[in-house]
Amino acid sequence: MAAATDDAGDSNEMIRVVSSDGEHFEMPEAAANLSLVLRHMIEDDCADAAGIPLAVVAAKPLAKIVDYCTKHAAKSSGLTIEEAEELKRFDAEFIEVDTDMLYDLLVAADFMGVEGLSKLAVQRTADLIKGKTPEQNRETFGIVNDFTPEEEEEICKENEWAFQITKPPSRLC
Amino acid sequence: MTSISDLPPELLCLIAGRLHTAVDVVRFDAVCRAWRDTLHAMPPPPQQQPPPALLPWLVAPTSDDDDTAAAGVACRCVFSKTSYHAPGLCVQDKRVAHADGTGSWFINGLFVNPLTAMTDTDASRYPWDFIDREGFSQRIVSGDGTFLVYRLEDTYGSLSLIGESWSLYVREGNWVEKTLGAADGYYVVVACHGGAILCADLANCYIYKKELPWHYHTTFMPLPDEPGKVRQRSYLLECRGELLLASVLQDAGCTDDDDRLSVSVHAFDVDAALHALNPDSAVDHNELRAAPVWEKRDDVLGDHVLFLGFPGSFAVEAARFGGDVPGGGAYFVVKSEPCRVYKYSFEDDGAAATLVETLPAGWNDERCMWFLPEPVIAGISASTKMQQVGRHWSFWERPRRRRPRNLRFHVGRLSPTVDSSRLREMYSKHGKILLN
Repeated sequence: MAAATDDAGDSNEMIRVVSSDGEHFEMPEAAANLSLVLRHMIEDDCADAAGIPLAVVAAKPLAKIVDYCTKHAAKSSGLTIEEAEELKRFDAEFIEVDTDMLYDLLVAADFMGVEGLSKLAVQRTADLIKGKTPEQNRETFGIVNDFTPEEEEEICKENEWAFQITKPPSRLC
Repeated sequence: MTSISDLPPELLCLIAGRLHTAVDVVRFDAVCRAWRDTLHAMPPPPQQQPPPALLPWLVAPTSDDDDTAAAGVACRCVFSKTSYHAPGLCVQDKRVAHADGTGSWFINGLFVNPLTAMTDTDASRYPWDFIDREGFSQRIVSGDGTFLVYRLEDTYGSLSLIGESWSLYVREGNWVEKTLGAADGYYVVVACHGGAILCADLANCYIYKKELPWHYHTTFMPLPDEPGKVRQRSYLLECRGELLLASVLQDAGCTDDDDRLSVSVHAFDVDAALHALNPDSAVDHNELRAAPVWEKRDDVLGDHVLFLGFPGSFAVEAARFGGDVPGGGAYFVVKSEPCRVYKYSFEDDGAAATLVETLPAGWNDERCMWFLPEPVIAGISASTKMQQVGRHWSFWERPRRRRPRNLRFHVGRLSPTVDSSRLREMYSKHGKILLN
């Protein structure tokens, strides 16, 4: 399975990467350079035909990341206003994922050192947290409440105001 | 199954760092242990960067109307659209405006956090009974820590400011008595700056400085002219060591209260003003025209956001809100039933202020105070001693807790043959290793 390479910019060198579950991907060098880890590997001449193994990134998120890097590398410098807008739209659509994928992207982007994607995923997660009660956040992210009842009571007492506030119906997603 | 709560702590820190409203942070703290621990492990901001702050809240003045007062003092965050009624503080306006943007109630000599009812002062340092008895109903703390309490007194159609000030808890014997002339007390704001006490109404700025022999005269400077506009409100605030006058203006000829509003900012050079006003300096006034008293500042406030309120206002570096609020703007409350919050951007020259929110029903007094909320996140309060003031003003102590911090290392340029067990081996002599 190979990523789209049509709009790859002017670098014609293709970089191969291998996911933790053995799937092969390739992307232009300019796209791979957006990942700090891949860039260092390329500089150290570790990128060969066998592909760079990414031991903690599974195929599903890797496909997304290759997609993200390819798109962003193709439009990296000298953006017109329309292109910047388009990239913004791409990002907004790109990050509309479920929380499992969001988790994978957070971890993988952090591991691979893809700064733009890392920021995008962090902001998306924060946006999902905003405006929710603790219970709604647990539901959204599949988190088990591991506080003892005493601890919970203490937490509520510390900032009673935050749990008693009046608020219009929250924007649920 | 993986979930966000399994994220490594440093990623959770990044996520928590994107939350800028107090209510989101406090609720984040209450989700689970991993999230709670995150807030304890937040890395300090890089040097030379201002510490992050949470978006401000508004607190309404205490209502004269008993029914409204019984419901508690209204607090609202226009950014998260959340409201809260602080219980039991309905007798008299107890607000204190601090120049650093924080706000508190002044209760029994203590500064009490309006949201959490916590206090970090360990003893009653101010003679609150005296302050209450004298009817010093307005309270401000200036940038240099001067605590000024005052009231405005109307005698025979002439307004006076009467007050007392303390610098760093030391009573200075600084009894203030300043005649303001025929000013309208409703529009008077007061500030302390560089040893002087300043009062501004819609036309003049009055200056009181103790050591001046002629202070008992009505010394004032006219406020700067704003051609084609009418000054609706004056605010005084300190920013980067300067005293600023922020004026909410309305285009001349507008009839609606909130039509075509704008804000202008001038730096006020108190020394230059005193020089210009000093009767003795009039002799050689040719060489004394040097420093201008008012200097326009709208164009250099791009990094700051102004929150204009009563009894005090403040400026915050926009970077402290992590980009949630752009710099170069001012937020203020406009009289209406209920009142409305407007925002003016200094960059859109000529554009009018825009409506942020119409406040909930009951917010009919526009003399609201902005403050930066300081919620309690257990163990990370900066103060050595935190106490909560309960409904019966009984105090109990909170233990101070510290948690170990995780350090994160970036190890780069390793040979591809180095795997996690080799890394662990290399670093394990320095402590417990958590590899992600």
